[in-house]
Amino acid sequence: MWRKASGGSFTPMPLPLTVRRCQPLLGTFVTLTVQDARPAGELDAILATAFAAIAKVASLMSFHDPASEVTCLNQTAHKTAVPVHDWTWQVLTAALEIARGSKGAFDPTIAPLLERWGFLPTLQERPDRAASYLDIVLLEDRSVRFLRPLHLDLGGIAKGFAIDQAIAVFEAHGITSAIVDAGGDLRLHGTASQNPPPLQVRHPRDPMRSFLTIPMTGPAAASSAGYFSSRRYRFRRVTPLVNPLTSRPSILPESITVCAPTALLADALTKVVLFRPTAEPPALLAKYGAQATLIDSHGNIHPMASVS
Amino acid sequence: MSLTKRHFLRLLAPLLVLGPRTVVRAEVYLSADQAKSILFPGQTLTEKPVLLSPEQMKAIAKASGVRVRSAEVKAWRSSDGGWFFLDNVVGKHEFIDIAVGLTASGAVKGVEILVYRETYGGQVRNPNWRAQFRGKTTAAPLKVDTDIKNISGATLSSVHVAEGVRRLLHTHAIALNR
Repeated sequence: MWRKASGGSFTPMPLPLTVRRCQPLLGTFVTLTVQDARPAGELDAILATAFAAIAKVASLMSFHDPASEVTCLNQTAHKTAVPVHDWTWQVLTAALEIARGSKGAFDPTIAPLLERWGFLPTLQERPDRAASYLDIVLLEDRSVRFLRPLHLDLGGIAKGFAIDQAIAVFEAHGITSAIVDAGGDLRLHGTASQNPPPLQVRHPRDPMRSFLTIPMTGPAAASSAGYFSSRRYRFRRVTPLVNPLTSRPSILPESITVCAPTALLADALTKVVLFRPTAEPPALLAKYGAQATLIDSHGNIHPMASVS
Repeated sequence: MSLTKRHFLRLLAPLLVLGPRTVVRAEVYLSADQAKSILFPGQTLTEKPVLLSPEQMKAIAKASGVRVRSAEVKAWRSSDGGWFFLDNVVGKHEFIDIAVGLTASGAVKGVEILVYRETYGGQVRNPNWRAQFRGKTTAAPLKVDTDIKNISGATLSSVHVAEGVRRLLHTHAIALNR
């Protein structure tokens, strides 16, 4: 761990404190770790601000929350344009850009299948089965319109955005070193990102053990795999990782880990790589400066580095 | 999975993991006292433990939809009338210690995780099955037989925490709000 050397002959510099806190947020556990020479009380206040930012993202974008903006969009955006918070706008803009760039391998409109399989609560409004990300329109006045009734779910990208917002709080306060970890998706800030720890990736067939250690090539990392979220739906095995192009869930014991400049990119790109339409992933990874590691169901490891 | 089957497996789970080389690892985030000063900064907390009657336990379970496992409520009253609880909920197989703060009016002030526990080594390690992964790696030896140090796959655990908070909200409404 990084340590500040004690200072000059007259006033010793304060030793940095490491403070870790964990709160249930975003449907998982968010652990914030900060290392800084500030007094504990100040660090606690900054941590509270960071947690509040994550909670704000959740309150705006949670599919489960009847009062969220996403719920409001799902209820009314097919009838009339709905103005949204700047953060929701940013996430939607990024989601559509990645959806277009991946030709639909990432698509935030696959919620109806997840509702049917019990991963998400069922919404009352009936979606158009033919709807896709192409039916989401972002208007100039920062409002959103759906061309058809559809169910928007930002679950594949909002967690990454929330992590980035917590990091932004630490950046704004000039925190020396920080790690934001939301259920295994993480981003490093400050000294931690300069000396990143190697990432331990879970064994897809034995997820309580690590299988692989990969270097973090970016400050953020995210993993997608079905081993903790699989369940049965009418004699079928299903996971919430649905390929938007085939409507099939990813049920193989494989996993993707993506390292990227931001947690939002890492989060969204795991789905793009998982639902790999042939040559697409490497180009998109290169565009965003990301690297991916796929562990397939035979235990083969496929690193996907950007070509630069 | 049906609710009864899940419930049955949950009862079995502690037995299932008592296999060879099983280790329970605990990640400690906060002590109870640290949680008190975070949730109620500058306040004095007076211990006010409560023992629920069977009728109260039933009423809380009915109102919250969550089982009440223990009649004992570890509660503290703050000088501004709020309440601080220490409780635990089931994670994957082990308990998660939590602290919950309520305002005087019974709204949630905050939830902090104190200790998160997970079991390791529960799965049988079949050498033949693991052999298929040998020789499939790139140059550097990549197989690392160490434990995972962070929390993931915690959707159900975080649901249990939410249920625990709900249970405590109704505990406050039914047994403490005098």
